[in-house]
Amino acid sequence: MTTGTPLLDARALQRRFGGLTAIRDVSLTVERQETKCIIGPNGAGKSTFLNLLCGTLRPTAGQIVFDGIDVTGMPLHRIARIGIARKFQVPSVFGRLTVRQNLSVAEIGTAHDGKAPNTVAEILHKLDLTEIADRSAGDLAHGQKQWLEIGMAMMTNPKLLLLDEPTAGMTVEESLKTAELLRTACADIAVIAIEHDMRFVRALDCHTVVLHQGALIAEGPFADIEANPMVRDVYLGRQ
Amino acid sequence: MEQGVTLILNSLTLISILVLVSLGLAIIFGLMNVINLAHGEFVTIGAYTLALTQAMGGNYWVALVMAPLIGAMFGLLIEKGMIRYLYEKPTSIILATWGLGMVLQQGLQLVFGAAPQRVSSPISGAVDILGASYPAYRLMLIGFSILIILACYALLRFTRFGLDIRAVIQDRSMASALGIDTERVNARAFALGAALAAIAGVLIAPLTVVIAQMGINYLARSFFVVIVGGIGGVGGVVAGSTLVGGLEGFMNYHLPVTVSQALVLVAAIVIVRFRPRGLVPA
Amino acid sequence: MSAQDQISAAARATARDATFARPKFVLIAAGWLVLASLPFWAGAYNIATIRDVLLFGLFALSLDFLWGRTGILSFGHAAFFGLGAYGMAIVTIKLGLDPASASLLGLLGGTGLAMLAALVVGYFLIFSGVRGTYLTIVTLALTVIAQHIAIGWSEVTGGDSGLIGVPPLTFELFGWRYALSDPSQFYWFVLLLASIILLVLWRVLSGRYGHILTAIEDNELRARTIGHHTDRHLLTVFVVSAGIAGLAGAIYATGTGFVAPDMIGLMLSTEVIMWVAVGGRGTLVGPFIGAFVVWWLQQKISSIDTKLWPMFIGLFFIAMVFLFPNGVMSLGERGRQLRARLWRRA
Repeated sequence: MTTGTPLLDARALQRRFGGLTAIRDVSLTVERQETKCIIGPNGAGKSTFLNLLCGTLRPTAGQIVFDGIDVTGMPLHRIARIGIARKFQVPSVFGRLTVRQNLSVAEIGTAHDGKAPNTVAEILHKLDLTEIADRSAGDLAHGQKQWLEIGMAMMTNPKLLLLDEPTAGMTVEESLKTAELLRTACADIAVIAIEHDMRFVRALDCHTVVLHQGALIAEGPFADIEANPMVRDVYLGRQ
Repeated sequence: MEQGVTLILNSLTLISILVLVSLGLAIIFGLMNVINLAHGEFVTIGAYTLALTQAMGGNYWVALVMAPLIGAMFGLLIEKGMIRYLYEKPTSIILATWGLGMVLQQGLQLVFGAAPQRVSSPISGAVDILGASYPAYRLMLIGFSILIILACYALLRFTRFGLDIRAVIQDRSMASALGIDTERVNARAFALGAALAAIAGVLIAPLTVVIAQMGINYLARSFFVVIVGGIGGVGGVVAGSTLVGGLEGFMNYHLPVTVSQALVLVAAIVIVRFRPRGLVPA
Repeated sequence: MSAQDQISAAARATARDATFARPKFVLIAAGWLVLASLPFWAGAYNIATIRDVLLFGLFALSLDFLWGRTGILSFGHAAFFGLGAYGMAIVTIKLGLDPASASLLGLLGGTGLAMLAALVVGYFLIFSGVRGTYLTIVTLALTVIAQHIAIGWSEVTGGDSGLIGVPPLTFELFGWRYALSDPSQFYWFVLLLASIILLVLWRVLSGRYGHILTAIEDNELRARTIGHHTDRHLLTVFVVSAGIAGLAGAIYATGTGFVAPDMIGLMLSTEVIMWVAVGGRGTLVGPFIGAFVVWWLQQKISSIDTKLWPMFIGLFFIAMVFLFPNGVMSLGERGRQLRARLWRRA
């Protein structure tokens, strides 16, 4: 156990695609049970950054230390097993399985830090999916798929949950419900969310990081970020 | 010395044959991600064109001109009538082209009978090379395939059609956004691939037994060539053929044919493990 | 669609998922009873024929396990069947062991050989991220080369004519020896074995493991991000599938008493795909039905002219892709939907 050090420590990450540098020298730390939002205009490198953290992309330079373990370049399934879960932007649930089966397939490994592992029934309840538990996931409405996917991520008993635009394509009510679900269901784990929807970020009201052209340009509580003139210029001002 | 020269020339012959058969396959595979299991039958069609031409009193060179035309026609027909509807379903293409191959084989057998077809090579005799006497026809085949490699390279590199093909291989949706008619590129490339295989059929015919089922032997090996060499380029095909053909040529000299074929399979599989995108990736 | 409709659609979907949808289960049970009673009313020739078709069904089941559950189409599954058959033949004929140990070693050797081949090929390919059509053509090459070896390496394999004189399966338990030379008993043994393997696979696949495989076929990257070592799952299925094919081959060889190159070659690889496609991919019971139906068709068509059969297979493959991509059995489903629609309109 490595208390005192942050849960996630990404140091000077860089990612190039050919001549293009999508992420330059971005460092980020996340404490246990902390929630952070990453915002930034389209093409700022938010998704790339998330892909680096969860192992779908390898950084060209830099190091990622998770809970005292260097996870840079570790295979995907092992990253998942040591406690990093990820929700994709496009909802990717297994359409041929039911909601319950989707959750059961994601039930893997053991819980960390001596906690009891999440059970399917628990997660169904926490994410308000109990009523549709036996529906085929392919037939769900968009918002329900997103919640199911958060549920699947939770079934892996993560210490850190990475969310790629969790409210993309949602109605206002659905967005707010998502923020609420995250606050209640994911209270005891760390969360990093990439978001576009300012209402959602405001509802989440957490530490916020701003990416612009692949670099980190500002960081702080959302209220400060909102008031930051530079951030307004590159991002908020354009809305 | 003599033996060494013969060995090298034998390997070169095998490599040439593989290049000829695989070029078309690689273009189709790389361009459309289509695994055409009827590709071997294009080779067979070429060989039968030669047999039929000679049976009717025509000569070899007429067949060499006719075969790619007939091959291209078949290719176009198959692309328009079948493949076009299946681009999104790779497994369906495999099943359909396999079925088509069987139908073509049976059709040829029905029309021409099961006995091997008679074909003769246009030039006979042997040439002395560094003390080894080597059949002139095989040398011609090697020379011819070098010409075809160069022609293909030039076609892909310097013509508008080649540019379109390369653009589609790189990024299909981008190419179509740039105004390239990808459907037409597909159809033409398919016809080109079939024509190349048919030429290969004519060239190979005098060295082998011309029967309706001859295609399958070339099909399996040319897939190895493409997998080992990498998809979508002339360079990859040449590299893959050199490796597969060279390996087999040399091992044939010391080992039974079957053992060397099995070893080539093993080698190909091991190479894929370490270079999943082939020796010369596109 | 109203909420009511949605709920009833969901209920229907669950009912479809429940594998013991009643009429179907009753039909399968009735079919099994007919098969089990066969030795009481059929002649020895028919018993032996149906036994072989059952073994082909088992072989088709092995392909269905792979193709139906992971989406990986093996175009060379006869290579594994043939390795099993040749393994059995070589051990029992060439090694000069006593019958009981020869049978046991033949079963283990044949099945093991098939699994080993799948393990080596599968490890190198699957762990390199090779999937889908690539994998299909490598398996195709595998069967072509296996057939070449079976023909060419005649000192061991008997070449074109194969090996003759594979003895019947013989078991020895505590000094009591028993040879399965009686056609009825051998038949029942095959039926029992096929049923057990079918039940075990069905049981395993209808549970969480089946869901994991479905998930991998649906979206492999996603399955990996929730922590599944998908390469290992796929390799396991590939090897087990090859093992079942090898086992079917080994037992088949003891039934016919000989092995020949066509038991390892492309034609058989093609036919087994057809059995699965006809019976319905991913249904597990379907492959047995497919093997029966196609075998019956083959008798009918070949009795007109043997050359017609390959032509028929070729046309079938083309027709399948365009007319019934989900298997011949799906035609029935489609017919029912059509009838229901007409009914509603009338």
